[in-house]
Amino acid sequence: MKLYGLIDCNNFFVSCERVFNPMLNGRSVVVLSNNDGCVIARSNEAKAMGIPMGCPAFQIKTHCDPRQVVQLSARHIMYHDLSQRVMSIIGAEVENVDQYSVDEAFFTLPYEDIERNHVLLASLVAKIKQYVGIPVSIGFAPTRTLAKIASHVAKKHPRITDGVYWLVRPEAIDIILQRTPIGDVWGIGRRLSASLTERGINTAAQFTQMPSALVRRLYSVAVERTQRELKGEDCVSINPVTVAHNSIMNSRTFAHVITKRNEVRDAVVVFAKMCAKRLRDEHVVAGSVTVYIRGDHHREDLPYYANSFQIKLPTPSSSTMTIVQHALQAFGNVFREGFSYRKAGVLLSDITSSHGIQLGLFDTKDYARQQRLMEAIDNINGHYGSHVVTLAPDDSKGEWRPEKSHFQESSRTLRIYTAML
Amino acid sequence: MSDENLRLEISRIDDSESLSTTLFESKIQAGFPSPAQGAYGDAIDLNRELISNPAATFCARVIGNSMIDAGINDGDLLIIDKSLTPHNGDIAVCFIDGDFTVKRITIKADGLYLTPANKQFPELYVSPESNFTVWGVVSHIIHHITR
Repeated sequence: MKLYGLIDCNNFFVSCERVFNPMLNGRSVVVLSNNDGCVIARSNEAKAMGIPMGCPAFQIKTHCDPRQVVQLSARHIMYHDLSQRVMSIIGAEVENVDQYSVDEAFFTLPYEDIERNHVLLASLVAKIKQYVGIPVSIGFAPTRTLAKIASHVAKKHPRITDGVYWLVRPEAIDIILQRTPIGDVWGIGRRLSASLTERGINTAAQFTQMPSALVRRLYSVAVERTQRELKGEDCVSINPVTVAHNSIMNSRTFAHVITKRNEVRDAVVVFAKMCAKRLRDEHVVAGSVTVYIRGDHHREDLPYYANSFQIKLPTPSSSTMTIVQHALQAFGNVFREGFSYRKAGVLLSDITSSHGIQLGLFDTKDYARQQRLMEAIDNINGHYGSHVVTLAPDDSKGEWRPEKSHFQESSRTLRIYTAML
Repeated sequence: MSDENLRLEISRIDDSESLSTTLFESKIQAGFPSPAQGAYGDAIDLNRELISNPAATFCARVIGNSMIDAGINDGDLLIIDKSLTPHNGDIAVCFIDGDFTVKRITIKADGLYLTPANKQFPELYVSPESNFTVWGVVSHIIHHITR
């Protein structure tokens, strides 16, 4: 039987901060996003105090005494460095590592024997703790969806599990699924779980009992696939590229509210370019481009507006030109004059492998030529910094940039970051 | 308190490029080595020479003089390999009661000590109550002879 593992770094950003400042151990710590100052990581102590994810810093006082909470500004370059170290350690021991986010990766297990896998993974957990200083949880199971649930169990019970938990025996899977709220299942988002709860489906176990034809009719093939995965049927691996990343997103909260059309548009262009670059880095193409913009919910004095618009590409693409062109078109559909904007984002979806693109019937572009151009631009930017060569509408120094005080310059020197110790 | 003037700032290492330099394989005893004596021209990669385990290797710059007799001077760069298990006598970056310090780990009959390499500094007893961890073992010192 093929087994999948999921490794998940516990409270990752907080754990990174603790590596360089052990005084934070045992204390209630939150990491705040750079601009809007919302909680993006919490230590277990902060979770126990009732501080929710996404909570704006100024609202922490409504949940607990803010003097008891250490509030830190995010240092993404450092988190990225530690993340790469964790991933390289895993990569040396297991196969097919597919990094799913900065602090999570799926992989396949090397042995048939469950005990042998368990011993290997327990040693990996200890190794990562020693080598990098980051606590991790690992789950493994016959499907990725179950592996993710197993990793939650490992994370909740670190002492009993030593950070590794496996879900392979059907009896064990049944028990855990009965205790798993439907909203905790990978692929079941907030809206979907609300809809399922309305139908009386509260746990993952109840969800597996639903007739699959009904799931497909009410929701989608993807949701039905999640259901099959919970029943132990490995289906996301059938086409790993489409499932590895369902979407690529780039978004940012602006330092201040922006009202000018050009400034918001410029931000959208930069996000679109960054997304396109990522597509090419990962050798995938996107089938649709979504642009969204929103105001500031905390500013009751300003009229609030938020909207998004999706455009399907005639042919899936990773070309900056194509992505930017369609992002601009989508932007034209969502932007309204007279409102203030605090956030914008570009989301690329319908991601597939770039090998064997299905050409659209009425599509006459010279793809090979465009691809060569894009590779040349990526190479130049890779060598000389990320904004040396760009397409025309780009204002990388625009108003929308995050506040300078938090913005870390890229550096080629040894001192990528320094911890104040 | 060990010595307040030792501060460490910890960095990661940019090993995106290999740094090669030519190696003289001749024994240097006195006088200048003759290139003809040994195998001249083998390139060594300094990153590979100094870093055996990139995922576990960090860098720290020393501020302070408590370790000068061990060859660690103010301004030197330490290469720290967290994958190494600390042993008695190792020089390590330690965290004790809120401070980072670099010292020699000494195990005695009555417990653990952090030993400086400078007679002007006292040896520090690590009491069981203290908040203590060995952060990482120092594997190399990079010292500039000319400043």
